[in-house]
Amino acid sequence: MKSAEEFDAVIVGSGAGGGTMAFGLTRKKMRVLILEAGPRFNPFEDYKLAEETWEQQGFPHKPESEGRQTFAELQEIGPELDDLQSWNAVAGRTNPTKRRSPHKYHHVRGVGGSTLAFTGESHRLHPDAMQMKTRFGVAADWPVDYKTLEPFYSEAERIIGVAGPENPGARWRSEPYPLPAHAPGFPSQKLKAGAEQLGYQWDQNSRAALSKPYHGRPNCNYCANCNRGCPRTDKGSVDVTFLRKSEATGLCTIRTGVTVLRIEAGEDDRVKGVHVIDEEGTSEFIPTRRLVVSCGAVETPRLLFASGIGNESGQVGKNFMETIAWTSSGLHTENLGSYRGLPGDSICWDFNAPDAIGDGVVGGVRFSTGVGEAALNGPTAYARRVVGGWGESHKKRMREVFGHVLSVGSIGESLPNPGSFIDLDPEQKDANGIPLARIHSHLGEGELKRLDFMAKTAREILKASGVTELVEEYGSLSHFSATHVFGTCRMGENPDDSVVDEFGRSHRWKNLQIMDASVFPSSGGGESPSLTIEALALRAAAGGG
Amino acid sequence: MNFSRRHFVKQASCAAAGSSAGLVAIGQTEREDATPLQIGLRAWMNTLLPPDDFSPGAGDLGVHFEIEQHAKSIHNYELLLQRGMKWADDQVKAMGKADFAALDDEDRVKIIEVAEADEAENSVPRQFFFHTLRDGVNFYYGHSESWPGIGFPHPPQPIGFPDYARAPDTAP
Repeated sequence: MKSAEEFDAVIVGSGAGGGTMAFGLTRKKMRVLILEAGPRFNPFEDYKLAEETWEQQGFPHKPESEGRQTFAELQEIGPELDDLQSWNAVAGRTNPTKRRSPHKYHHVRGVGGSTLAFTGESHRLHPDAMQMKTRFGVAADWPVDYKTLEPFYSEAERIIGVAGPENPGARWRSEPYPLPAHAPGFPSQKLKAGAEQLGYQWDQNSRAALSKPYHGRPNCNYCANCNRGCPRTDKGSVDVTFLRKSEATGLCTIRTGVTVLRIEAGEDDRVKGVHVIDEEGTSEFIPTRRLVVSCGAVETPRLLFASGIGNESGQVGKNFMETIAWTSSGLHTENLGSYRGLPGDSICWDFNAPDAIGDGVVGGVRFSTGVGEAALNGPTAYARRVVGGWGESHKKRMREVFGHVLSVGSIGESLPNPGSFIDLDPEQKDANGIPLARIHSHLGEGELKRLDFMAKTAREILKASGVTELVEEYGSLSHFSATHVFGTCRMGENPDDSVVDEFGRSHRWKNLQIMDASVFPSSGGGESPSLTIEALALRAAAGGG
Repeated sequence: MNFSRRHFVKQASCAAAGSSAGLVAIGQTEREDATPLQIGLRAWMNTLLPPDDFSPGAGDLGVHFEIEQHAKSIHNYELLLQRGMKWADDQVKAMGKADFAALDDEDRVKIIEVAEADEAENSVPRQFFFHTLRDGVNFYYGHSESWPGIGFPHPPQPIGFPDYARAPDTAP
C-alpha cells in the first residue's frame, strides 16, 4: 500500500463517475486512490444466475453494499389520480394508502457502483434536453453542449463496447457504434409491430452489453437478468471496463470498506483531505492534492453537508430530480418466451425531445421493452404477481400464461421543484454518527402529466401489440422508487446558482471536483444517465484541472 | 401475540435474502423421525401446490422443511405454524377423522378453503394460509423440478437463451 502522499488524487466512490475519473487520470499517468465504502463483487462467484434459486436471490447485496437513507413524508394522492396507481393481478393496489410510499433509492455501494445492477442502457442525452432553461424556462442549462461532449461520448462507448443501431436519430454521431446492435428479441418484435401500427418508431436500443466478443469479454447470451449482476462480464459495468483498465496501469489503488466521514477544509480555498474509517473501525486522515467526490446525487450532498463544504451557492441538495417511471405489463395472446433476451433491447424515442409530448407538457419521455426490468422473467414472479391462487387451478394457470407477459416501460423527464431536495436527517445517523441523507420528493403538475401520458401510451402500445389483459402496472405516483437521481450539486457557469463548473470543479474549492449525476442541471427525457456521467468524467479528467 | 400480516411481511422481507439460498439444499422430503408438524405441513403444502403430471407437489420437494427452517428466523412464525396446523387438525377431528394429513385431497382442499375465507385478517387460520402460501410459492419455484410444466427450461445461466429472437415453440 502506497502512503497517501504518493497519490495525485483521491476519488470517493467507484461508480460511473468515480471509476471513469480514475480511468481518465491514470491515463494521464496520475496515481489515484479510490475510497469505496462498499465491497468488491466477483462476477464469476457472486452472481448466482446458474442456480435454481436465481430468482429468489436477486442482486446479491453484501454487508455495506447498500447505504441507508430516510424519507420525509411524501405527498398525498387524490382519487383523481387513481388511474396512475400501481397494482397487480394478485395483490391489487400495491400502495393502499392515500399517500406516496417510499419504496427505495436503488443503488449499489461497491466497486463499480450502481452499474453493477444497472440494465446497461447506454444513452446519449438529447441535445435539446441540455438547454431547458433557455428554451423552456425550467431547470437550468448545461454549461456544456452536445457538440462539446460528443467526442467523449464516443470514447466512452469504445471503452465499454456499446452495441447500437445505425440510425442515430436526434443524437448525431461522429462515428458508428463500436458494435452492431443486438437483434431484437421476440417480444420486441411484437412491440415494434404494435408501435408502428400506431405510427411510432420502435428502434433497437443502444446497450452496454456486448453483441460480439470485445476487449477480452464474451458476448451476451441473452439470459435476461442484467439487473441481478452479469456473471459473464459482457455487461459494460464500470468494474469490468473503466476500472479494469485503470487497475491494469498499476496506478490505481482501490480500498474497499472505507467510509469517508468528512472532508477537511484547508487554507487558500483548498481541501486538505478526508477523514475515513475502515471496516475494522480504524480511523485515519488521508491528505490529498486533488479530491473527487462521486457518491451519487443522494450521498454526495450528504458528504458535503456533513463536512460543511461546497454549499456557497446554497444549491447543494436542491434541484433533486428522480426517476419518473411507469411500466405496464400484460398477457400476450401468444407464448413469447419473454423470460429470454436482453432487457430493454428496443426503444421508442418519438417523445424524448423536451417539447415532443405537446399540450404544454415540457419534458420528454421514452418507451422501451420492460419485461426484464420489471423482473417478470421467472416462475416465482409469475406466481406471486400474475397468477396468484393455489391448488390445481394455480398450476394450470401457470402453464397457460408463463412466457406470455409483455411489458412496456417508460421513463420521463424529472424537473426540479422546491419540494424535492436532499438534506440531513435531524434524528437518524449511521453507525459512525453521521446523519443520514433524507430524501424529499414531490411530483409536480408536469411530472403527473408526463406520467399520465406514459401510462396511456404504454397501454396503447401493449394493446396494439397483441396484449389482451393487463396484469401489473407500476409507477412513480404510488411509490418513490428511483435508480436515476440527479441535480443536487448542479453544474453551471454562475457560482451564485450552481455548485460546480462544467468540469465538475467546485466554484470555490480549487482542488475539489464532483463527478456523478448530482451535477446534471436537468435529467433528460428518460435517457439512462451512466454514459453521460462517463462522458463528463472523461472530459473532466482530460481537461478539467 | 402478534400474527398481523404487516408483522410477518416486515420480518420476512428482512430474513428472506439470507434464508432462501441456504435452505434449498434440503432435499430430504420423507424422514422417519418426522414430527407431526412436519407431516401435517407436508400435506398442507402438497395441497396448496399439488403434484400433477408435470411436476411434484411442494411437499414432495421438501418445501415444508424450508418453511419450517425459514420460520426460525422470524419472531412468532414457528408458533404460527404450530397453531395453524393445530387449527387444521382440529377442523378435521370435528369431522371425526384423525388429522389433516390423513384426509384425501378433496377434504384437504375444503379445509384450506375455510382458512382462506376467514374474514378476520389477523386470525390464525388466515395468517397461516397467507404465509405458508406466500413462502411456499417462493420456495417451490426455487426448485427446478417445478418448472417442466410451465416451460421454463433452465436457470438463466450458464447457457442463456440464444434462441431469444424466435418464438419459443419454434426453437430447436
